[in-house]
Amino acid sequence: MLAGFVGINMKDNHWKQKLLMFLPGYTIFATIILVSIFLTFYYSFFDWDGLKTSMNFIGFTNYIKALKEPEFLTSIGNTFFFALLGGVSVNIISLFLAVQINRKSLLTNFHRAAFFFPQLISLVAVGFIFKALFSYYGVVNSLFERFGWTAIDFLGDPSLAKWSVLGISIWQATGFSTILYLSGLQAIPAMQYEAAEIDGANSYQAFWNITFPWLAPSFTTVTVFLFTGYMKIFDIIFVLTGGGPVNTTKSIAIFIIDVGFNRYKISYASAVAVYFLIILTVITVTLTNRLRIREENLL
Amino acid sequence: MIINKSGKIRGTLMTVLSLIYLIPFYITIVNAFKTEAQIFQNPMGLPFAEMTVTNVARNFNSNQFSALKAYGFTGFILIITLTCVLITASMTAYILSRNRTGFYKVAYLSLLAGLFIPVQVIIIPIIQILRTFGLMFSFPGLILVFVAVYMPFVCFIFTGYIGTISPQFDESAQVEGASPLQTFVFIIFPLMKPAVVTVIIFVTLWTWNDFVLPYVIFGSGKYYTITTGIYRAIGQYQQKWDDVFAVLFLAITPITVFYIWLQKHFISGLTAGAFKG
Repeated sequence: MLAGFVGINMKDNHWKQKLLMFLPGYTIFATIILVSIFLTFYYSFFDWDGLKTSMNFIGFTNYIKALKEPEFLTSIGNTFFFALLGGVSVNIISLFLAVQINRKSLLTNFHRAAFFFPQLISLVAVGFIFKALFSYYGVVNSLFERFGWTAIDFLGDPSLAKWSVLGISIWQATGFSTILYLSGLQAIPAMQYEAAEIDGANSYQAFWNITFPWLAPSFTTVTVFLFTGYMKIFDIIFVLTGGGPVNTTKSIAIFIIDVGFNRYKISYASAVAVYFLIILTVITVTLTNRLRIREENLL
Repeated sequence: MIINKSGKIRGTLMTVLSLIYLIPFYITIVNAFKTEAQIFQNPMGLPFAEMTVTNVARNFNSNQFSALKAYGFTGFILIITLTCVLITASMTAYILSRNRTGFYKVAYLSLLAGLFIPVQVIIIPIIQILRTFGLMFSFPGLILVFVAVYMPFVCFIFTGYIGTISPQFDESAQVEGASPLQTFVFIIFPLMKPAVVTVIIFVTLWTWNDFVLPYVIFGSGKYYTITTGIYRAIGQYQQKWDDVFAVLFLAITPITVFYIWLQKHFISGLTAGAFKG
């Protein structure tokens, strides 16, 4: 009866067994993920600290409050700072690296492995390694001291911390994009380059007329991957600066966890999470559509 | 000739670049075996002068931080998570791949939507749900959330892959009287090997390296993974660089060994299965 109602074909003798095979995985997903998405929206309309048994419905108050709070607006600004500058820089660097190491030899295998390696290490470990290098009492400043240079507070200076975090994140993100571009490069038929060579094109022209257009699908993947990844930036900031100094490196994700788990403002954090989800969805969909149209025009 | 020469210059340039790129790891490894005084005197050199293994040994199994425990807990979580994900997601994906109408279509679309949800958006309700079921600070709680979070991605990979396996395999098995479960276990699953390898690599890396979920779910309780363990340990040590580098060395060693061992499979498995352009 129920199965028929939801559109499962009951004439199929095995419909029960099929449903039983489908359900374990889907139930885990639904009870944790789908219910949580619903609850995020639900909590955001209340005034609740996560412990009280009574919940006051307050409508859009949390949403309006967020728009008036400088800390929230700063965290959005910072997140876009990382996403835009990081996304563009990593894109350029990894495309350059991929073109350079796109040949089959033992040496390029080593290059590939080297650039890919940081991708496998947890962001927490990467963060701490760079903290040991760049904190005020760290390795880099001890080298500076030996050369007689003044020490620089890479992670503690409010005007510098943002750029330090950005640089470290670029270093970390480059490997995976490079590998994605490499697999795109390997799909370009060698014939294209041979024809260009016969026509007397130099390597610069070959890049812009063959490589770059052919890489359009990879460009889409890398750009969307980088942008969404950067929008969610959390671990590395959490370890390096914790969002400081004076909120200059605070991302939306850091802000949500801070408000929700340190200040126990469950409802307010949920409203911020909804904003985050909306921003992320709109940008991802727009970006993907634009880039797909670009692919069609190029090919 | 000219091409050859520029190729050589390019190769050398890239070798220098990739070595510079790896310097942070080099510094971590060499300094894990130096005394604190040595680290400040000579942070870049190899630890020939006064090589010491006491930092690493001290952090291998002490009260503050036990790398042994961290490996054990993380490995345990990983194996159970992997087993659960592979069994449940492969069956769900099989059904979704062969039945694309009505209820199953809606279910598939909801899984796809789940692909785009960052964990920070739903972490607060997840904690409330775990609290309700009494699963906070426990292995089952963390594993359950891992399995749920991976479900959309793994189903997406598996559904796509099963789509490339001809339904004629199913039909001929059913003609011989096999049930859908038997068809799946004996015919389809063995054919899914490349997709399974991709999923194993991704789930292993994500689980091994994840920080937010164990940080929030285990809290300051008695369990810790490698990432939350080093976070706690280094928080205590502050500027004791000999301990910091030793802890980091212990944290990155297993995956480094794993990578050097399975390097070829890693890169092709990661890119081929998941991102087809």
